[in-house]
Amino acid sequence: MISYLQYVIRRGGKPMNKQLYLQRLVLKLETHVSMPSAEREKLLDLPLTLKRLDANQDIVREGELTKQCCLVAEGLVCRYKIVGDGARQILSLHLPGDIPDIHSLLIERMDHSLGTLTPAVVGLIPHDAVRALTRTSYRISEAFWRETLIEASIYREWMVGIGRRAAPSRIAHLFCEFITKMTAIGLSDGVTCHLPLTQPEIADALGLSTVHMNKKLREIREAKLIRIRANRLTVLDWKGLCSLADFDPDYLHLQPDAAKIASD
Amino acid sequence: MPCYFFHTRDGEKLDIDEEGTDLPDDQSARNAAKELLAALNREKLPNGDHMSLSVTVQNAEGAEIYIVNLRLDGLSADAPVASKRKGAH
Repeated sequence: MISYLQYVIRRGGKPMNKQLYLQRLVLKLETHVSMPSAEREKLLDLPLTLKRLDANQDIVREGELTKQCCLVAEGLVCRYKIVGDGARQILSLHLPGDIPDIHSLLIERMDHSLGTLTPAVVGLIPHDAVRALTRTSYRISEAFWRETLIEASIYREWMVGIGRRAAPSRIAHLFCEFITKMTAIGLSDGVTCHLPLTQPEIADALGLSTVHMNKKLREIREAKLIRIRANRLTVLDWKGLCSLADFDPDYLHLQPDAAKIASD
Repeated sequence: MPCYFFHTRDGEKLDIDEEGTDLPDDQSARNAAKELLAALNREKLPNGDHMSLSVTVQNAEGAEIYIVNLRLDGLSADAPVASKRKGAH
């Protein structure tokens, strides 16, 4: 299995495959609910304008009005806000198959920004097309609704983490969540996965300073719970990591097939 | 960006930072040391009434450019107090 970033590199310059990217959307939705084949076909017919982006590039900024939503096709995307003194809070991480601004269908003005963390390919889908699709299929409509509800559940978990969990637990939780989500969409075997986040980015997602985050990350590595080498995360002790993280994957609401982690 | 090392001491326990963190300049490193100390303090607070934490910042050349200390002594009302103010109503 290759990582999605290796995939981006390997595909460099070649025509990008829209069908493949829409299949990632279907795969993502199916980690939460199974789709009848007729609905799958409708999703695969969505119009998609592909855009290749560098790392740290904005897709849509806070305050902007938008008439399209963005499917993450390749790479890692985040929602973020910049506070008064210039510090960044990363609000959520988005993997291939996610549509992080699906809510813009109903709330057109962005109340946060959406940007890439790695080189990425995104597929822009006009609101009109998504709206038409949700009107012809209540299952698809419910699937998108479910996505936004699960997003809210993930926000609650992050709120608990930032508000109440100690730094080592927060860091471990991010790793548990990341590898569980990557496994669900077939980009990890549940033991190891590509983790293209820098330490300042992890710190921005967890509300920690980079120095604090580095110190605590070192402690987690020294406890032999994980290994991080060349942007690759390997879980050495899944139970230990979950216990430190206070991680219970229920809030991700994954279907039983998608929730399997090989390292239990 | 230059690399800085943040060694911490918690009571007698020393933690040597061998990896370091890249930061723009000495001033950011000093601020980061104070921020780290405040965060460590917050983590340790519930564990007792006495604490002594310090962070030493070393630059890439090995020079110690900053040391910041924090000492905490909690005193309960029923604990013996050495000198009590008299005449206060």
